[in-house]
Amino acid sequence: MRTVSFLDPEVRARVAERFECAWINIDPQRRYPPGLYKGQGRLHLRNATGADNIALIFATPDRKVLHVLPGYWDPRTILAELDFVQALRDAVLDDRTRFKAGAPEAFDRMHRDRANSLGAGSEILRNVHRRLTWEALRRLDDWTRADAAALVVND
Amino acid sequence: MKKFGILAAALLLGAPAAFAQCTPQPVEDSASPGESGPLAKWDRYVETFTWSASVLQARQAAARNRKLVLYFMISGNLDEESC
Repeated sequence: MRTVSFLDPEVRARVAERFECAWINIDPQRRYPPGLYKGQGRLHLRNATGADNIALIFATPDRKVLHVLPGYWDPRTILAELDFVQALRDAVLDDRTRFKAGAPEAFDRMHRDRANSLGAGSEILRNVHRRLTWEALRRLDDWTRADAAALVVND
Repeated sequence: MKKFGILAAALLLGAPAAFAQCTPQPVEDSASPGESGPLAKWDRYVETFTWSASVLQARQAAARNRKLVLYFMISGNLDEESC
């Protein structure tokens, strides 16, 4: 992510324009061996690699999770998902970032439509969108690494 | 003397941040999961981003600016290369 996606100028610009950014470590006691992805190359990571140890989480100021991208994602996919998040935000939140009436239906419909719009080769991302339902919507505090990883498991 | 010279050079080059460890900083918002802070590692991660100094600060800025918060969530401590 560091050496590819977040160095992409468009990704950087769009993130800076639309979001307030923070990082969180939900399991600071866990340590990984150095060079975990050594040899996999900068440009050859598959999407969702490392789904159980890194994730991009898009949330409202009061920590309601709207979207999750578990693991590594290429810049092109991130850009498309940033646009999806923007559209989702406009559909479910009012000007004060509070949920509008009808937000549950809009939330489910938009994630479902996004899943259905994804073509071959995007099965993992499709799984993510299918699993992000209003019913499954939760606060950031409740997220675990297992939750993020579970989003990308094949049916 | 040689070590002192190296240290002085490093200080002049702004290297102190590089000595910072990947150790979570105190968080203002005790209810927040994890931590967020001005760690050298993450400041370098995406230099053009403005990383909020804490989760609380990010949330407050998002509410004020009517934006969402993008959390880069990590689980455990990865070495810098793996990030």
